Amino acid sequence: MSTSYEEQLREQLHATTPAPYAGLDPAAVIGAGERVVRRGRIRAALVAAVAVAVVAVGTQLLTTGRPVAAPVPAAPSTSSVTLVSPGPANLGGVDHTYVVSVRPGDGKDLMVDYAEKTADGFVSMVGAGIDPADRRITWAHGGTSSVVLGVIPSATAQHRIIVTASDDFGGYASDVAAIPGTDYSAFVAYYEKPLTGDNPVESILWFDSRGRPVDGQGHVGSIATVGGEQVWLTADGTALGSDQGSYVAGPEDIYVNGFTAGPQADAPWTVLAVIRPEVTTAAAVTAFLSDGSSHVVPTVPLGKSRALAVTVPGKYDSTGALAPSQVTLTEIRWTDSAGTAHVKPVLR
Amino acid sequence: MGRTSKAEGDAAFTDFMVQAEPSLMRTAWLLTGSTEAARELVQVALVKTYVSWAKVRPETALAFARRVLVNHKVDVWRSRSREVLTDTLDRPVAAGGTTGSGASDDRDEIVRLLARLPEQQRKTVVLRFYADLSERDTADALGVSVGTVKAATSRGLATLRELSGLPAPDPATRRPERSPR
Repeated sequence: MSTSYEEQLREQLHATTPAPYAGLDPAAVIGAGERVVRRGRIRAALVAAVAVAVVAVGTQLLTTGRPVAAPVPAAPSTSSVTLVSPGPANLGGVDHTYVVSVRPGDGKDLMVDYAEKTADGFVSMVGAGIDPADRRITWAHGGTSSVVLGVIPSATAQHRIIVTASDDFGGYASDVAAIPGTDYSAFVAYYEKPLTGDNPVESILWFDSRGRPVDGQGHVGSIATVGGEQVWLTADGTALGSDQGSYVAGPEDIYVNGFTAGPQADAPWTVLAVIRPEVTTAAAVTAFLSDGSSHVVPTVPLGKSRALAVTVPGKYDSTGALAPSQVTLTEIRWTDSAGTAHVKPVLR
Repeated sequence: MGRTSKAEGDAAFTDFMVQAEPSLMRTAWLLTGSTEAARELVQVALVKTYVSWAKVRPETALAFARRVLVNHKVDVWRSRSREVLTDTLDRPVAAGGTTGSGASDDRDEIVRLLARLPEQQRKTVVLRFYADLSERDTADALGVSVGTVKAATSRGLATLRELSGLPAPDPATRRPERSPR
């Protein structure tokens, strides 16, 4: 039921308008979209090329007699990759392009060099030395610049990262690409606003080839297919997500979210729940939904936790508009091995 | 572009864009408080919609673009520290950008108030009371539960009332700052 204040707010929101601005050009938007599509195709081709190169290197090492167990040299010579920050920054015709290089350093160390492409050419930025045995992530940000550049200790990192900043620096566009001939990938995250403060970057999650989240210290999280969706959970259990989005887990015993199977609002709706390990280890529970239905569903191990999913179909109402399913998880019940029945309401 | 030719798809997208841009722009402006940031956000949403255009049905295209728009900001908000997510910080007014008009009128007042809401509350208030989405559709757009939408809406309205100098809402309608355990 609407209150007078809700109506007043609704009127205010509908009455307010942004300041006059230059309208968007459909041709420019379509052109940007086409560039995104092309980049995806090029990246796919590059991944294939790198895979072929890795196979070739491996084959050569074996034929020259190097012990099979010996590590592959990380960077026998300088190897570079170009990163282009996608997203808002390049829609106005301004690409932010960086080159990340890895070269031999002193002793066993490697040196990472960063450079930014400007109108005058490439400008070198501060680099870092890394120990190949140290599998933690390495990154740098330049003073109050908007960019975070770094190196991921994997050549097969997926093309996504999640950066947690200490404050609101606006949105960030990111790019991840393997550095050819090394077992590293480079990444860039370009924020809308300059990064300020002593430690503006709190953490960075990257994803290995299996889609498992890896934190900055190298702790590998977990994945599971739940409700047809690959769901991930960090090693410390503080963040979870899927292709539908990422979430910071709260303190609740049962953390509930949901997702549709596709972009259309009438797609099947899935109630997803992650149950903290101290709550239950039951392999199956009865899930009670807000529509009054109950479902016996398996629980899937997800790290130390367990996850479950219940999918309900999307539907239309009589007017043809998409009807909200209004379905949430309200309670789970299970019986433990000693025959004791348990009931756990979902209080959020 | 799927079953239709690229030219036909591009023409359909152009028609959609012309119709959808004002609504998306206002939604983005209410979320960001900055005309320029809103413009960039709408660009992102439209570009991503174009990339997926072959899979988007015309009748759901606006919802798709709005969802992209909101989730792009979601990425922003979710990248913040956890303290912000607890909704307990009295955050300063977000930089709203200058409009160039120099007018600090009532039109901007609601935007300034919105900027003081924690992100989840701002999103739900805008989607519920500007985009006029149902709780379910708001939850769909944000990738959260209906319960989360209800709680965020309630807290957001209470905060806006307080910031507007209106009397506190009926205690029976207030929600705790944290979900009960």
